[in-house]
Amino acid sequence: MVSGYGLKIKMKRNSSTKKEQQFWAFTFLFFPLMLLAIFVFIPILFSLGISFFNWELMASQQNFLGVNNYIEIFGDKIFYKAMLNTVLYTIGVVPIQTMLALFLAFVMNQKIRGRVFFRTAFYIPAVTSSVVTSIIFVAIYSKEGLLNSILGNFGFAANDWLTNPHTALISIMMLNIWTTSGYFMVSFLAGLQNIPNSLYEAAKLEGASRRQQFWHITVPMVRPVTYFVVVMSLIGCFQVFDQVFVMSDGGPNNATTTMAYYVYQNAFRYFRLGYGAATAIVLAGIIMIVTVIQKKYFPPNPY
Amino acid sequence: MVKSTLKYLILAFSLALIASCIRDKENTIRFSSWQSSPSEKRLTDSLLHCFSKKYPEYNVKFELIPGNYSEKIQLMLGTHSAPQVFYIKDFVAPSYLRYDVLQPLNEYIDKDTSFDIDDFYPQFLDAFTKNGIIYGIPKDFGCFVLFYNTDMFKAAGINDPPKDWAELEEFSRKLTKDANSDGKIDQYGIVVEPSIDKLMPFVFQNMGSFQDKDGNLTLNTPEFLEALEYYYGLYKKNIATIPTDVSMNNTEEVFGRKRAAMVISGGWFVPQLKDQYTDVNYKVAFLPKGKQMATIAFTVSYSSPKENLLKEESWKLLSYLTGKEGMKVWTSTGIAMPTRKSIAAQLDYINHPEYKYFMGSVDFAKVFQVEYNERWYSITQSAMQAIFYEEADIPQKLKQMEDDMKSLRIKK
Amino acid sequence: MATIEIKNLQKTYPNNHYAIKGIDVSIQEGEFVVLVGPSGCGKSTLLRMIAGLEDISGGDLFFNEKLMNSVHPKDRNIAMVFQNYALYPHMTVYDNMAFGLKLKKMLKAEIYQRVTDAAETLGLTEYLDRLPKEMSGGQRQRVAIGRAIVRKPDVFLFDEPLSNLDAKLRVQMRTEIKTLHRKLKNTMVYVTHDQIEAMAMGDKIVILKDGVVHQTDSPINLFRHPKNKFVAGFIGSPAMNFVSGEIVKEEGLYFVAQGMKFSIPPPLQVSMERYLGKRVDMGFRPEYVYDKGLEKERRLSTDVEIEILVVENVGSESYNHFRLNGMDTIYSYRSSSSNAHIPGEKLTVGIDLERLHFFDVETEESIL
Repeated sequence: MVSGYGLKIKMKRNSSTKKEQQFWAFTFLFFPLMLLAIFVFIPILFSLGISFFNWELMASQQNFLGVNNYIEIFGDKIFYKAMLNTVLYTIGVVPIQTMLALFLAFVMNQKIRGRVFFRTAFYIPAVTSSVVTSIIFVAIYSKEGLLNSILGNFGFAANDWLTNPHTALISIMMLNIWTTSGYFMVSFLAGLQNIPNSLYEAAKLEGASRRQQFWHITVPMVRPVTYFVVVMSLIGCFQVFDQVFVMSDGGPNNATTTMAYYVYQNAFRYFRLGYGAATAIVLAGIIMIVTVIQKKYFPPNPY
Repeated sequence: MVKSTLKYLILAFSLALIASCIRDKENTIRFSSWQSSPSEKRLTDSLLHCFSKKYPEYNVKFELIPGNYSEKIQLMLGTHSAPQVFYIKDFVAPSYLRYDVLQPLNEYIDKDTSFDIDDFYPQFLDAFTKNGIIYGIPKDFGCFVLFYNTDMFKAAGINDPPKDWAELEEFSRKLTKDANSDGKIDQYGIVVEPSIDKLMPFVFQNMGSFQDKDGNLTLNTPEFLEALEYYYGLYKKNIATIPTDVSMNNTEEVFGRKRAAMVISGGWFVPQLKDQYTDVNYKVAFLPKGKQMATIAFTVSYSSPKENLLKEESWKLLSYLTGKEGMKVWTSTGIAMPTRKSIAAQLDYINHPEYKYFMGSVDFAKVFQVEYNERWYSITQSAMQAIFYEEADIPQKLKQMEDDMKSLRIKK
Repeated sequence: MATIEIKNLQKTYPNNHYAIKGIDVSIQEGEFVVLVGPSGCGKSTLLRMIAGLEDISGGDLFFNEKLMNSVHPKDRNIAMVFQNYALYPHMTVYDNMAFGLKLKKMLKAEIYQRVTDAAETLGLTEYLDRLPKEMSGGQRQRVAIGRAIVRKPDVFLFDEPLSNLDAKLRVQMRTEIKTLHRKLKNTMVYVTHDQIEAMAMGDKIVILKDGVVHQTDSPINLFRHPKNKFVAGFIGSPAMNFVSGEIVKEEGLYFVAQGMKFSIPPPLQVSMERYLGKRVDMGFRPEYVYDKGLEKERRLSTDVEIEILVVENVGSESYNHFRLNGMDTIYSYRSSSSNAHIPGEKLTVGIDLERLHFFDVETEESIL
């Protein structure tokens, strides 16, 4: 049977190899595509659809509103607060996170003692659940928590970081910077290791100090990675939700209400799925515009 | 060989899909609630057990919803997969009543001669009634009372709890102490919260309200303003604290950990005190009087979804749980107060040293419900936070709240 | 311009790998010295120690009689051209060449002068605004050289700069570098693994193997008078042919092997005396084998019967690979293409007796 079957395959090989390849290609692609379609593409289209309705989950029928949801969004002052918070958040987090990640990667790339330990230590927050880190930091940020006792040693008055409207957003920003720098540090490490050593040697011969080497060689050469990190960071910042949900519920007084949290509030707390969907579409649109602008004016340009 | 392996794969996959779709037996009644404490769970289990003994032909399956209860129920109602019987809190009942998703219970009540709907205290039943149609039966109630630490009172030379606003402020001042003279206050007279729920008792006591009987907002009124200024004043005068100031999560914890001498809380605190804060010697009292006695009552109903294949069976369970027998089992532990006058009389809580303050409050307890979209709660929370954390101008905030909420009015 | 004096230089790595085992080299001002040897011989390591990119484990390095062991590379007044060019990819050609000068805070006008001069010398003037990725390998190498030139260093160091180029370009760049040397008259140290390149370019060649210098000499001397078997076999392409045999005495000393008999050339008769009756290795170059049927004038050895196996016809010449008197080893000889042979052909050749080399079997040194 084996030999006969082998003969059958041999005879088939030439004519149907291409068809066979295509068959297997589609088979393997089918399942992930189906998953993506069910859980990503179709929901996105559905969201777009319901954003034109006053879609309430428990209502017996849904009213068509046209673009009224969108008009209402742009008239809601909390929407603007959320946008402002998100922009501030992004402007604060992205540059600091990127620079910190690059700096950490640069240090981790040198041959210093215990660097494997430090690399792991920096990376652990990135793989810890954001809910867990948020809960830990609620305790750290509290009025009688760790941060205040450390600062107290330097003579700073205790502050309730999360309920003070001036410090609440910044506190969440700091948490996020700490968490995701480690993740991006790994990306930068990979990029750094792609820089040929001879470039540094040539610069060394020409008299460049370590700092000059960093700015004239390292930074330009990791540009594709920087682009990636900034884009991912931007997108992540625009979508920040977990920490707000766990730590501050958007408060105090909407000081930490971000766009993603605003979507959640309207859709699931106020039972207005249509309005929430419209907000989500607006958020997606903003992210897309920002990414396009970045690609145009700060392209990755690998060398 | 390749093709046949694929065939087997597809077959296996399909079988798995079908298997996952098989639901429970057709006539299983699904019952959901949240859970405040382990003792409550035990009570629920024993109650269901009693039901099963009395009606062995019915299958009841208890599905606990541990978190985000309201959102989950809403989702299930919207996707036609809601349990047959579930809890609804009075606070959010308007939202559910706004939509036509709950089963009207009047015909079942009328048919069931032993149910005795008039046995219920009217204000609790009204919370779940709209236009004369009853959508849920209140299973129990709680209300805000004053808890006070008798040791701290004795140390300050106070014998009785405060009976009005003036005494509340005076006692709070006496009870606020810096015990070890380190410049930081260790004990506060009372612990409050920048939250509309804790404020409303004072508003009602001051003859104010949240909305009038036509549904218009009455926030920007002298009565409301006065109550808010009094309430906030306690914090401003540093004789009241808020949980975040002492790094805690809620007012009960502050009282339980002995950082405050008084706290406004409800019946749910009692088991907690007995289990967790065993070294706190406390007593319960009516809330102090303003211009009148008032407090907020909380009640929870059992309701059924309108889309229900097991309507008769659901009513059987529902009526048992809120029937005279079921309610007696449920409230005899004191976990909450009975909403039936007859059971209240039977258990004689009005003469119980602790429970009399809960039962006694029935006369002046109001159920706090708001006919505005849920966003009203966020708006009031923001305003309260602004007042407490940012010392915002109170009259201005009240006017702002009214302006912001006007558009959220739920149409009848 | 500088002299370089390397005295007993050593390099040991942390894992105890003893890479450079005591090297002495003396480089005169303006000399073009090539360091050559097989992979792992230490030539690049030696060059990098001269540059200061590797630490010196032992011995001394002098530039113009100044001790350089702990001097930072940027203070040694050297310039280095790397094998992979090491150009800064995000800078234009101009900026690449100007980078070092800008670091030294030189005036803009002077930088401009130097860069444009160097560009002109190397034919790069129209490429000054381009990025390295827009240029060919040869052009990039020129930029690397230009970057070295503008520094006006005392010493130029080249680390296998032509290895990444194709064959034709390599030959062309070789000439250009030599021309540059003639023009600038700088001391240049050049590393390569290619012995042809070494022979073509060096005034002086240092042959290295396993961290030790085997011979330092001019190209001609290395070719004619290799000090040992390794040098003899390393220099020259195709490589020298080696035959193992014995010294016997008939009327005068003879080398016999596999039925062949070669009389020992008169200059070596005396030194070969002590090898009488002993085994020695004999080497003869492919260039000095002649078809006995054609060559009449030279003094050739006795007949050697060979069978041609492979003929490589490279244009003007043929490399013929053959077996000798039935032995297994394959040897080669060069002949003019006009006398083309074919595989399988049997013919009689003779070896030029005045071009024989003899090597002690144990020490592998040349018997002189």
